[in-house]
Amino acid sequence: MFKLDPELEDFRHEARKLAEREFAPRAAHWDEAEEFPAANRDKLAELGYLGMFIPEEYGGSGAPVIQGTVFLEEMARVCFNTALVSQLYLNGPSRAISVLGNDEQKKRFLPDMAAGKKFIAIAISEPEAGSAVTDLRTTATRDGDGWVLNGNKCWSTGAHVADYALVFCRFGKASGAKGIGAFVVDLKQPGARIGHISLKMGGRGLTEAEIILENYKAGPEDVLVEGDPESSRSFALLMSSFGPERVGNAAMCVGLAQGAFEAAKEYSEIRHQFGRPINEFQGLQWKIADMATQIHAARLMVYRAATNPAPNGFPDPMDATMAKLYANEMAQRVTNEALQIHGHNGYTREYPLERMVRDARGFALGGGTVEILRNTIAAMVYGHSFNQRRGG
Amino acid sequence: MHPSLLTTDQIALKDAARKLALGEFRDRAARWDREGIYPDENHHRLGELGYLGMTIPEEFGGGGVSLVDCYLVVEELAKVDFNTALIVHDQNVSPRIIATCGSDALKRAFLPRFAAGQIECAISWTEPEAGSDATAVTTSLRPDGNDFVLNGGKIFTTFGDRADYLLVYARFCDSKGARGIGTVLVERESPGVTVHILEQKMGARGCNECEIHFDDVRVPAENIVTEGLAGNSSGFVRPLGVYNGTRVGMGVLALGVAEGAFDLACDYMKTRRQFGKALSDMQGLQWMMSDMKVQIEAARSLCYTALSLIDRGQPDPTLSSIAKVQATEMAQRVTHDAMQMFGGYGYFGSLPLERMVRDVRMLTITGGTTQIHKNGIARALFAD
Repeated sequence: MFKLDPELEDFRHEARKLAEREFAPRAAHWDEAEEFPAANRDKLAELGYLGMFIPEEYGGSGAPVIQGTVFLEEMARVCFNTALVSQLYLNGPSRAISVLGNDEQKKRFLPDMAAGKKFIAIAISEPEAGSAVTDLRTTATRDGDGWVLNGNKCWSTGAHVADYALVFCRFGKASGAKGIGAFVVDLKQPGARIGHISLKMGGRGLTEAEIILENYKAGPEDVLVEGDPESSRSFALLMSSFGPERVGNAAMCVGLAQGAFEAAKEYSEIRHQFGRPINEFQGLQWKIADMATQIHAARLMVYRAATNPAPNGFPDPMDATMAKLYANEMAQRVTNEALQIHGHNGYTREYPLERMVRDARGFALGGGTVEILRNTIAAMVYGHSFNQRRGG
Repeated sequence: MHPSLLTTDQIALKDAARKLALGEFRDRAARWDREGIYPDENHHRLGELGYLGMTIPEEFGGGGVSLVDCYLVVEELAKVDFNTALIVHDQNVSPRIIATCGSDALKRAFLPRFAAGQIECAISWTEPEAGSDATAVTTSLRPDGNDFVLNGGKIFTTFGDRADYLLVYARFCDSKGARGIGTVLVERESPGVTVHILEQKMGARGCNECEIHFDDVRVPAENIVTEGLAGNSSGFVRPLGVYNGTRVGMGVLALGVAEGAFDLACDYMKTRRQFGKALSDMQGLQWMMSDMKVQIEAARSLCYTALSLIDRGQPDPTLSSIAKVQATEMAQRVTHDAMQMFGGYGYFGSLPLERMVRDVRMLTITGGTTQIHKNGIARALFAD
């Protein structure tokens, strides 16, 4: 994929106009007030953007992955928090439900997601199961024809403003990836409550919260994928449904870096020091050239991951993992250099650069740290995974 | 400075600072950042214990210690609280300019009060159009009767809202470049001085950056520190010697924060288990930590060597630039990688790592950006 279709370029143009007109003016506000950008969510739902990946029969428009990629890029270019909320709607639980849910579940959740009326968070990490995700200990125990859930989930993005959470649980006495499945938990029901809400460095419009489950009663209709204590298949299925999430994550990095890059380019044209615009200094020209090259490389990786699916229909895991790894680290370097080009102005809140640097930092930690992505890539390179539990 | 190279007195000085930092400053450190307020109570503690005015000569009531000794203290404070470390660092700028360039009368009038913690002074140099291009200063000082009159505007004056005096870089006559620039002490409360606190910033949120306007401010002639002369640049150049120490000092601030973050990561890795083993048993992470340690020790050697040379009266401006560039760039990488060791806890939690990343970000910008120092290093390389 070396060139986007003209319709996609038109789509990008529309998304960019919307973001610049509606979202740019308040981008700093969500960060400073640490406020969920509900107004932006409502606007995007009204215009049909949030249901982009939801099948038409459930109120969405069933668009291809590349369209969502372009959309997230444009949102992140001007307002990272709006992009983050969009990413959860596009590539979060609704994606897993579209692919793995039964017809009743799709009817129950998807139209409300497409309309922006409901918000579903993802709850995978636990205090002792971060990178080692298959160490998770939240349990699902049989209770009549339903289940009882117990456990603590942490860093669930937006859980405190969500209606539901897609909760990864362990069925039976298995360990490792075996026995892991997932429920949709109604956070307003007894047995579910929100614990500590994090104050974080960036992405402050949509922070993370702890979900505490104490004898939460789930009905059979709430099981998205049942875990099998004898097999890791359910876990693999769930994880593959999050493949598009990696592509979306990488797309946001490209957008955020693009926004910072454009700001730095413009600033270097108007800022004068030593009697000339600072873009006339060769060292600075080379910085800009390096930034442009890295953004370009990341964008091509993201577009490839978005348009080159594996036989199961999900993004090719190697493409998606490499795209996220490269784009995560690229976004940190580029936003940081863009801040540097602004000098002390970049460090103040009168310019968006310091916010962009803080926003970019979370990518290398959330949705798989860059170290874990390297483990995954190495496993694919060698054709088998390495036992990370062994000594040395 | 490598521990084995320290004297008994230096070890005692470092230990005392460490005890103070861990015992009193560490637990309060998050507050100054979160609320964006100046660490007043720490300031008073530092004054009481004699940590302010450390480098002011003894004859003027100061501690008369070397820069190396002073920065051993700053390093310990920076490990737990960047904002408080900045207070001790800052005393080495304006008072030292007065001590090295001022008249005897000026020294007697000001230095004892600095040493006693009675007054503070902020450097007011940068202007909106004179940032990296530091000699593009346009603020003007002109004689008027027995006094002088000051007009102009400054930006990014650190501590400008609370300092009793401002050490202002001004142009004494119609001139270009460094010629004609001199320095003068201006009382902040003088009629015609307006201070506007700038919007909060990314890090170092315990100290305010200010925009300052001077509108026909009368300044007595005896407040001139270095006179700007039309024929040469001595009024501008003489105070610059002091900045050799300031630059390296920023490197030591960076070193301290980096060590603080590194130590936290080291401890955490021994206790945090994933995949059934401690993080410290994973080779990829071990190599990251080894790289960080190599960079930290390089910064330590550079900074304390440069400071020792200044203390011996043989400053090496190029080495001072090299130390500042290496240490401040190092601290960006090290705080960043130390935070990475904590995974989600580093970014989302209430740990100091994300604050440390934000605090050190300033140091490659203030005190001359990395790029401006590289210009200087390159000039020395290719000078005939």
